[in-house]
Amino acid sequence: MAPLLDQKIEAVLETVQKPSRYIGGEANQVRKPQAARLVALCYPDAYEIGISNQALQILYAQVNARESFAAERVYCPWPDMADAMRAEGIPLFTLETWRPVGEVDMLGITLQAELTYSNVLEVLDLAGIPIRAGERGGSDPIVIAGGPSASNPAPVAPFFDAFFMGESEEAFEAVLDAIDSAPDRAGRMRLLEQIPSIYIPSLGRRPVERAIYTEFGIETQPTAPVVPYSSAIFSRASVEVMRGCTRGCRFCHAGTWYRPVRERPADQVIEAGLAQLGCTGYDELSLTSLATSDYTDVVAAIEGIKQRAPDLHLSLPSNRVDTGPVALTAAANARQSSITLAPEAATQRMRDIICKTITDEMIESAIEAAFRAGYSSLKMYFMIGLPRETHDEVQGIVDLGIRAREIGRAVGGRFSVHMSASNFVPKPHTPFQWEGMAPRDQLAAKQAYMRRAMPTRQIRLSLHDLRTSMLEGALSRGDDRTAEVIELAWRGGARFDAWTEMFQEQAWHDAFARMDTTMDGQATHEFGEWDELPWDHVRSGVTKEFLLDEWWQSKAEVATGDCRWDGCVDCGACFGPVRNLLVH
Amino acid sequence: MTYRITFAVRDRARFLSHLETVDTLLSALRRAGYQVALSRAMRPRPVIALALPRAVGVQSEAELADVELTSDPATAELSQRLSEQLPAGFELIAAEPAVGKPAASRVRGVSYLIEVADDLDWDQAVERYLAADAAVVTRTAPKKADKRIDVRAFCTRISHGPDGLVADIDLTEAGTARPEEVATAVAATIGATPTIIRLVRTEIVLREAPVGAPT
Repeated sequence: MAPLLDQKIEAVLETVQKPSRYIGGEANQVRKPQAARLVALCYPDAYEIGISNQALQILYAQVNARESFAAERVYCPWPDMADAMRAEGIPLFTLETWRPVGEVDMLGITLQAELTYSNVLEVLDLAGIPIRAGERGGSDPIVIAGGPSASNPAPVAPFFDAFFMGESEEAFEAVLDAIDSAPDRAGRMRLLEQIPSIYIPSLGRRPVERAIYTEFGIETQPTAPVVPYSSAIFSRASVEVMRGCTRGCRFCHAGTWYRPVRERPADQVIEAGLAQLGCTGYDELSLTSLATSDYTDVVAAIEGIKQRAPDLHLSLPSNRVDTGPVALTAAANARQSSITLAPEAATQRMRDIICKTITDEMIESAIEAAFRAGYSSLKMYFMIGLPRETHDEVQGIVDLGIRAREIGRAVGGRFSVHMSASNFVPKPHTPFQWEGMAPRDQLAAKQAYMRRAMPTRQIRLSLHDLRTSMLEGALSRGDDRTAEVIELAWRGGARFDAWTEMFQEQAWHDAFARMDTTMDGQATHEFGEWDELPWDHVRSGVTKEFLLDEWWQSKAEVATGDCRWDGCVDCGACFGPVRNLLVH
Repeated sequence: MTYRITFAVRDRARFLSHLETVDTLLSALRRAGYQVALSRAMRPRPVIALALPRAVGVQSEAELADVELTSDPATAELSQRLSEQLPAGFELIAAEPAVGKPAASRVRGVSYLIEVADDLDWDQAVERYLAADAAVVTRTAPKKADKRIDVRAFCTRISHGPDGLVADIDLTEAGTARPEEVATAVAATIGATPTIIRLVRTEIVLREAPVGAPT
């Protein structure tokens, strides 16, 4: 006879959408029910989003590599499941063993996006863990946050016992040691306090350093990641060929947060990729990084993999806009019919402001190269609402769409152009962290203009939801008071805010109003250069002086070089063994 | 070469959808070192077909899949390697060369064990059901008009045993009945509503393959 909780879960699964989200049991899942220490790793969104996250796969392998530890996965139940669980008195459970999350030693929640913050509270509440860290007792798990959005912990600080800043591969071992060494919660918290990359909100806003995995060894690349059921957004093997990017795009959080650049040699990438294919049964391999075409060994890696697996579907995401990367992408995967380019801005002036060091000629050459390589679908990403944007920049996107269509027609054959424009959201730890987001009415007017002006024949236009962009803007640079707003909104029904069909905009407006502020006021707020920022105590490695200098450079419409090729820009990321680590 | 794989789907794996079941089999075959042949369509797809979709939540002791591999491994080797790669809840029962037309085109019936709560006089209900000329239930579906189904036209072999109802349901050109509809129709004969605990597909019955028919 199955335990009572299992029976209750099974009964509920008969009634909900996509029950495979909650069953676990995938290939390469690790079950260690007898392990002395249990860590639950949570991505606070639906299974199909969370299972595709590579950082959690790394952490899952890292924790399970310890004999005395078991890592088990948790995702945010979809509202139908959450409601049924509450009705039946079922606590949030892990996928591997269906154990209540409230019984684990540590609950790690990755913060990959601000729009998952309401789900963090949903997860805690379903687990029966007090929402606020200050209300937790000795029997509650230690709740720890990580991931890129933790770089501004203030908006969610009251909900976590601790924040881990940076890359887990080396520094998270100290966290596991703390959990293993002390017998109780208080003792573990005392040990966590001593770790430089741990921030504990209850101790005040102490400086905390981002952990950097200096060596970036291939041994930490998971060989046998969990193979998701088919509903996952990404179902493919992936090898991280390079971490960090020094191109210095001024809007890009990852471009600061993951410095410096570290590369893995092609021979290691090839072996790791082929090994992972064998262990997972995937028929596609992705060579991932923030800019794979910048990876020094990219050609050697592609050729080496193609030699050993000629029919493999090989993908190279995040490529620079130029003819070379387009040719590389085409060489990597002849079967693919679509290609994505991300110029981000359509005019040279705006590209200088955001430090996107590509020219009109490079963009047009890349478009032509894509069509000549046989791609029938070209997708291009842009942003609107960037600092100091004028009508010319918005018109430039429309013009570039038309120009791409002209190039496609000149090359000949069937094709379509897909123009996608998101709304710029300023992020912490970037040169634009002081900037406010563009007002909602301006963004709406720009979107409306693009809809009117962009031809529809052979061109498709996608524009991001303004409502969720404004919320993201209000949360990303939030402060302590933002936490109150998040809790009020969640209590008002907000969850799964990144899902348009689930977004409860009014719940958020009401929550901001109760804190005597507005969503738009928070999103468009500009900081002064002398203001103390809520995340100033988080030391990314890149200095505030450098970011400020870059902000001034953007105002002067001057792009900055990439230290990989143009010499050190004195950003502060490199010190001692921490430096750009290129394979040649 | 095309193989017919017979496998069970139990425990939590029964909550996988039809598509997820197919993908799980495909990735297990690839992990086992086999390449599944691709169709010759504009968008090539792996050549695999389950004989009959399985509703989410239904356990099965006898799923059938026809899959074409680019190689022709011995069945013993295929069985062993595939068994090792199937995830929790899946069990390989047999792997053999497929003979005749695809299983999906030859299904003539399905047998189920319908586990029901023992709170009704099921023996009497089955007796009345078998004696009746018709047993009509209403099939409801979101965004579709209700449909009246005469379950008796599709299910004439049913008994009640210690584990529940054992029912053979025909698949005909006129359609079929679902196992839960069978339980509903049987219970209705004594004016009751059934409590279904679990549905277990025990066999997929195929029409005979002509001797010597090509695969």
